[in-house]
Amino acid sequence: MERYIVIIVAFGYVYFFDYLHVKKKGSKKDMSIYLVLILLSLYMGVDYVMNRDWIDYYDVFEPLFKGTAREIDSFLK
Amino acid sequence: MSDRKPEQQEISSFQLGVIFFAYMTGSSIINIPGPLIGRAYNGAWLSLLISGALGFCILACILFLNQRYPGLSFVECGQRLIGTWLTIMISIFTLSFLLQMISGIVLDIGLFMVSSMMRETPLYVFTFLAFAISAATAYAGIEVIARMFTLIAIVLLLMIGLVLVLALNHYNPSSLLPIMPDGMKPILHGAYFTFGFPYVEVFLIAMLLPFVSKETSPKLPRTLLTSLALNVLIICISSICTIMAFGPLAGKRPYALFSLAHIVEFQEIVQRIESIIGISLILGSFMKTTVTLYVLSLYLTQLFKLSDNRIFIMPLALLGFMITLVGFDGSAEWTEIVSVLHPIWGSAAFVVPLLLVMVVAIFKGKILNGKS
Repeated sequence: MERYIVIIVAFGYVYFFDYLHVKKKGSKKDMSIYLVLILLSLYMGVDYVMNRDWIDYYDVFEPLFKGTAREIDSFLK
Repeated sequence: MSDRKPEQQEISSFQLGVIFFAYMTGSSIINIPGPLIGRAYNGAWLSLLISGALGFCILACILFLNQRYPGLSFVECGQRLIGTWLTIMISIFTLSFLLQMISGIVLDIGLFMVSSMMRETPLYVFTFLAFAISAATAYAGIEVIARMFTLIAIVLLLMIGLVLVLALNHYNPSSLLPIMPDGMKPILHGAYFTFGFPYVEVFLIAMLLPFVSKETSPKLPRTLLTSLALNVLIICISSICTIMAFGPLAGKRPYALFSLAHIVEFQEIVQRIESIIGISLILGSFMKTTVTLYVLSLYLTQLFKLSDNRIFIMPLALLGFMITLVGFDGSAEWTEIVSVLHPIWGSAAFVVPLLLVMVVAIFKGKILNGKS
């Protein structure tokens, strides 16, 4: 229940703020990018609410740099 | 809130210098000394000089591009020099790291508050509030940010200075020696860590240079160099004071200035002033998050030639908040991301694109000079 409230408040704040302040809608390109960002947030929101541990942000980028970074770090220790 | 469009807003070079100083110093003055001393021991200040020198090199590259192409941000320079598609390709890591930065800074506020001051409060309370306020401030525009941050930066410096001065009777200068008992490797290890956070982040200023008014732009290089030098000096002083106060135990404390404030006792009246450092961390991190969020929205807007960066501030803040909810799996993994991954990720995100664009700018300049 707590997690649902957190997600509703977060999305609600964004919707409320943008409804009040984003007076004119952007172009189709703007709205597509906006939608992509909201969908990514929604994906993570569902992951959080259902507590599934799906692929997250660090799971995508960490493997790209982890090997080299760890080698440098252990060399310098 | 400024009603002027982002491209119409102007700030002076002094204001940009303040913004630069605020986001470079903001959270790093609280977070850097402890872990840095844990890696570099008494040579922590040497590590800062090395990584600070690299920061100066990054700043020099940015100022070179600004001199060659005045009034253009880094993205606009890239689009002019290497084309839109190549700029998008080299910016994938840049966008990813900018997003990681805003999540990391805010997560840091939450972790500090949960570990030091308010242990029972859930992490998301702090992260949500931080994102909400930072996003609203970023939405207000660069002029509002500059005006606000001038005052906040002064308050931040005064509070940190107060703690460092009041702790005078706890300092033992003999703790500073020997400087390099284990040779050069710990110094380089510390420099590697501090390059990842905060000195690689000098890059962000490349997106804010177009906002400087033409009248004050001649003073810009000197102002930015002074801001960076002041940042290096202040973090060095904090690290040295921490070593003098705690000796070999300085490296064991993740929030060294917080621990320093904890032991301050002046005339039995001024005691337990660590809440001042808590306030400083929140103020500093708020400034850094706001600037980073603003830069991220600008970068995205210019990269994909969108109309108004303000449309994307809230969804980007929401995305950052979601990353703090699901991406954070524990302190040990988080420490590894910040201390081990950040330098490489930051280099791929900021240094490589900057060097590429700069090299093309140099060659294009030589070709044009040759033709003329």
